[in-house]
Amino acid sequence: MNPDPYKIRFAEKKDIDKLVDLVVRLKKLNEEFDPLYAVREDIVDATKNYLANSFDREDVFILVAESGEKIIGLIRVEIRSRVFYQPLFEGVITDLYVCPVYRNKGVGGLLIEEAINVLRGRGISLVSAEFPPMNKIAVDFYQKKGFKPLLYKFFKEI
Amino acid sequence: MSSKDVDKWYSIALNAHRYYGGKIETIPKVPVEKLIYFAVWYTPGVAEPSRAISRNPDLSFELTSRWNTIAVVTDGTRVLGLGNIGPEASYPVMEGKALIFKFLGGVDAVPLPIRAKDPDDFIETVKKLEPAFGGINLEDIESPKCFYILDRLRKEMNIPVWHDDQQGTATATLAGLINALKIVGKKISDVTISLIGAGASNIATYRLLVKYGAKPKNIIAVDSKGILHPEREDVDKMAFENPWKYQIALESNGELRKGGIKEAVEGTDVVIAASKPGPGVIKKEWVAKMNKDAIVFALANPVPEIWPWEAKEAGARIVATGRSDLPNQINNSLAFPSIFRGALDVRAKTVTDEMAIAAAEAIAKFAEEKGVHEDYIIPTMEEFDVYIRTAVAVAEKAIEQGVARITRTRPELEEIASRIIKNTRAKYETLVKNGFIKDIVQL
Repeated sequence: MNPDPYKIRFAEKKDIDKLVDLVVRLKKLNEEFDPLYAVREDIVDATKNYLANSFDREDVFILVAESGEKIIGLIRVEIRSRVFYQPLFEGVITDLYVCPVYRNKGVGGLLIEEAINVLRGRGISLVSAEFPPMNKIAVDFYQKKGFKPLLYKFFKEI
Repeated sequence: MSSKDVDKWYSIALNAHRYYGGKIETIPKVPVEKLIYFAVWYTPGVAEPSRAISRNPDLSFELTSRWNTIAVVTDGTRVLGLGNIGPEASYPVMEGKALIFKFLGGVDAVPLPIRAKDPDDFIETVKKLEPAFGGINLEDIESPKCFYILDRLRKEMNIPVWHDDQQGTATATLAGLINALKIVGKKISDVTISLIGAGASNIATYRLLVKYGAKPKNIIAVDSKGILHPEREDVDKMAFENPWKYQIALESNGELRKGGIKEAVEGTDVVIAASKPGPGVIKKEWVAKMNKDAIVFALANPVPEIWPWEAKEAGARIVATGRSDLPNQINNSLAFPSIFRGALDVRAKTVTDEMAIAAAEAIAKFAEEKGVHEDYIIPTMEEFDVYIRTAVAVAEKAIEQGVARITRTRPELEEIASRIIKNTRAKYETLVKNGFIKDIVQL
């Protein structure tokens, strides 16, 4: 058995269809948690645009995890200015998804680790993650990785 | 059973329940010849056993009826096919279960519906019952919360906790399958199995089959939305809603087969259906596409997913159902009375999966010794000796695995199980003979 079966690399434009599939799955999972997470009807097109734009942005990068030739997970990170606080910038994990069969095998950890390396390389010393608070699996995962809650975001329909 | 027959049973049952005022009662088993005997059974004498137990709580299994008393606990959220009808309405079912426990296994069982819908509240309540009982039989709790409740209670309690809708059906199914496979000359480790329905019993059956040696990759499970596989659209949601089913979606179905029941059944050796009442849930043409010497368990009640004669016409070699009026009844009443008999006789701390497998093997062996064939793969409820044999097998496995509080030899276990079960019958017959229990025909 290969001792290091998963490879992490930067996503490329040719990966886009697979990336769309993974991100759509992630967003559809959120539907489970609240009606305000009901995905829009054109979710596939919207996701495609979202990811295509990401490739053109300096402040965004996407890494993928591969098993052999197959993409099995992704992480998308967006660098944001913090305006009032220091450190001045944070790398926000906006999307993290690992295909079910490859879960609990450390793939998510590898993706985060590599994303942090990229951020450090760009002189950024703070990383955060955005996800629905009801996602207990994500809560446990990030806590285990040493993240702590630092921001509340409340919603109300008007 | 036609709907007219069923209506007849409904009406008799209502009258009988009213006439007898329920089905079980507590009666003394010690002499109370004179009132002074209460000085032994109650104050002041009783203080001494109490003191002894307070020094060593395990003595409660020797000095009180705890050793032979279990609770039949429910929250009333999934009673029979009636759904969430509430704890009071579940009482007749729990009391019926208690009656079977006593009649077939000599186990004193207390019906205990509790008003606790929240799973954590339910768990805390059941845990608090531990000092009063030698075991807990969970019943009629909705899926998937029943998995969470069972897994936690098994871990957190020091007496056996058993959810019969899961483990009882799984154990009886395994017993039948062991003999069916013998007849067709196939091995559990080689066969492909399609599981139709992913409710309490089939999820438990999956877990037990895998423990017994079936290969997860060779099992194809189907729920109401189709075949489970790791790429199914709703699989992420499943991880939250039903982690037990999610686990099956990830590890089963090695060939990534997709589709519905039709596609699931095709080319498999065994079908185990515990889904919704038939007929026509499984079609003849689908069974025709199974492998040679196909085994079909259609366990839905009151009408199996496919009628046995249809399955046989389509080429199935062995067919089992959940019905007593058809051959090969996969009946959890074959399992739960003796599993608790065996567990209680060694004051077991739990019922392990291996003990359930030992029960299934003992049930299967009993039928094998009498001579198995296509229409006899599992004993019937009338074959009383099977309960004694199974109880002994369960108790021995508990001792072997170190979960028994006391050790007993096989002859001792046989003597105890046999005496308790036979005495129960003899006492019952005495009550009937003396007119304390009148026959139902007189109503």
